[in-house]
Amino acid sequence: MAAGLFAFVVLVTLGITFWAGRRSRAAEDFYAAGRDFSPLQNGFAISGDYMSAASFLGVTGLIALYGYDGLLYTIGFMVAWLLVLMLVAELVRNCGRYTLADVLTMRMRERPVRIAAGVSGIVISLLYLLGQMVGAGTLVSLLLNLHSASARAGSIVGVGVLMVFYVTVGGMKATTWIQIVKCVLLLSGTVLLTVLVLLRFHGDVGSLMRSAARSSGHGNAYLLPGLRFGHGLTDQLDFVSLGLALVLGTAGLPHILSRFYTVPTARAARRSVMWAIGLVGAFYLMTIVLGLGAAALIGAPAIKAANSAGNTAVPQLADSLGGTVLFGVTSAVAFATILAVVAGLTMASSASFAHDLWAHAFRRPQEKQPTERQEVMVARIAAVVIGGVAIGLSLYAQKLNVATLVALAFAVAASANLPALLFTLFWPRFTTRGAAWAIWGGLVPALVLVVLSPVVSGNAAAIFPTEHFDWFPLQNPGLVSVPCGFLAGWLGTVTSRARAESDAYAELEVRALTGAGAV
Amino acid sequence: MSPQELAAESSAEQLSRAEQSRSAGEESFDWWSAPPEAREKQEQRREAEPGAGAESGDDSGAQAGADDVDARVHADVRADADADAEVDADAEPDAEPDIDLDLEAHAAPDEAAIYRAVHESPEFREIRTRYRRFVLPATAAFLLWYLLYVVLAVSAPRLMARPIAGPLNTAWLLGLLQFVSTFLLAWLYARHARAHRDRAALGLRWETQDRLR
Repeated sequence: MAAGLFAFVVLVTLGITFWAGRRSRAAEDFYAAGRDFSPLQNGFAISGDYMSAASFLGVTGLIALYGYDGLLYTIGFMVAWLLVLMLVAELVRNCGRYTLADVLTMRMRERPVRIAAGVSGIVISLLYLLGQMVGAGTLVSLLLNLHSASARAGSIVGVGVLMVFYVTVGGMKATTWIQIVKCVLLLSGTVLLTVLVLLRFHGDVGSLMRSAARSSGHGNAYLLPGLRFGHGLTDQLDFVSLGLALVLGTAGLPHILSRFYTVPTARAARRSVMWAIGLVGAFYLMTIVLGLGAAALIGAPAIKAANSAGNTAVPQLADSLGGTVLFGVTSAVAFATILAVVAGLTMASSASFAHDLWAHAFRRPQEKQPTERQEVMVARIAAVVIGGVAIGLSLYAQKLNVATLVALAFAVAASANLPALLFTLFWPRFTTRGAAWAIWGGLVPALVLVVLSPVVSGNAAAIFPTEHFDWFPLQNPGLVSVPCGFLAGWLGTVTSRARAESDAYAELEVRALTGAGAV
Repeated sequence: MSPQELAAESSAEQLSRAEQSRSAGEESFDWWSAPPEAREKQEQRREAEPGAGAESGDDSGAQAGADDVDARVHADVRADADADAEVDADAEPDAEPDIDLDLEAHAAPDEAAIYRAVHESPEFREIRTRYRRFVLPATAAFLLWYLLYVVLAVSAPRLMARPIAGPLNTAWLLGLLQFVSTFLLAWLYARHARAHRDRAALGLRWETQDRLR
């Protein structure tokens, strides 16, 4: 039953891919789907990109296991959209073409900025991909009741092959339509489960909360902060660090930024973000109910027994509410979610490589530009390579909670991309050196701190449990690396010999706020 | 009312009057798609140069000639609103700069001058002021409110545990209020942009693009 639904999801997405891939050969079609989507469609696609397996499986699992501390994720993910809406979406739509670097290079010299932005785009997408693919492995092994390492590895490879196929054949258009279909599926599934949970408790949220607290084994502490993060100073700082990364990261995620180019105008970009805020907000409110429901109806011990990080709480909840049918449907929805999000991420990273690095940064000033057809070809090859790298890395990260992994991607995005983007849009004196330093100055500390964090080594849940190089105490580097990014951008600007081009800033501001000359 | 305020008001009035005159006779005019005269020009140019791709930024680019990608790369800098060539050193200086997306070269000197002029115009300043006057305080407010919530959640356990109604405690109330404030602020922003910025920005967009042409 569930396997049949999985096959159905795969067939539908493949159908979309072939349909969309028929006539997408120009770069604009490949990267931006011809800028042809309506705000409503793009709002669904943005929500689809954002409501990943990390949210559906990971966050719900965290709420089920740790109660209130899981809630912080949903709030961070949600509030972040205000930053996107007010400071980023419209301006980026007006100034850019396909990637973040297009906005930055309106004012800056090409090469240094393109290299930095291209690399950070690929790194962020890869980290995010990792989270999604780990979720895929968990899900498929749970569903097929195969707990051998090779079955998990096989499902990760399968998902990787599919995502590469979507992107290379269908480009942005297929990716967007897959997101839209998936978003509708995911929301329907979530609404259904939420209604069932609430019915089980006769619509009484209070009794749901009490019952969840009782079955969690933590009693009243379940409804208070501190279960996951503890009460020590380090734990408190970790909590704040995570909160910062979540709220600032969204506006720097490459696959979200590239979504704004699939609509014709800045106003359409704003309206799509409004749709996204509505859909994402409703979704996260429902995940809270699902998390509490899982804790109440299944209990923490059973959830932990199935997956120590809680990634399987939702399918278990579906099983207990509606038997194998609902279990199959929910798993298929989660599977569709994973497929869609990994496709979006592969798309963004291949654009970073082909458009930023290969077509611009790797050219000497006098060298002839590659043709569009060559660039799109390189983007397709890049999708294959990046997909391969993501598959390889995911095989090593299977023990981590997918929400934790995604939070790392957010931290890197907040540290590397956001400072450069905000300075470019709002600081007249910002220079090329400032932009390059802002990106490197956020990216490198964030990555180094992740490697030195307890996520990678030093405890049983880490990637390398037996090694000990966990010198940085926090799980999430945001608290240190985000200020690093802003500071490096400022420092690079005040130390550069070249003055900022005031003409370029004037043009950027006029374009950003009016849309004059926008693509 | 101070003289400055009066001046600001009258310039805003002029602005809105200009908008009205521009919109007269076009009741169902979609402000964010190309005005008819711009479309006509586009059509004419497209007919004049049939080799060029058939698309424009605001119309559907998906209909673009997918079969003549290479031809487009070279032809469209001159010909079309959707120039695909990023750097085209051969572009004539009189290439239409509004649609020339070659941002890094700034080939046409008058383009920079036009952008500078628009940048210094009172209309543009008005738009920017309206944008910033809403967005900067709003961003500061929601970030502070969010950080306050996060810090309180970890540092004030007794406050967080205070029961409000049934199992609902301060911690949950504050968390849910974050959702409420997000929805509210998003709605306010969209309303503000629609009411105070969109029309003026669009008017200035066409004006700028006309001057660039």
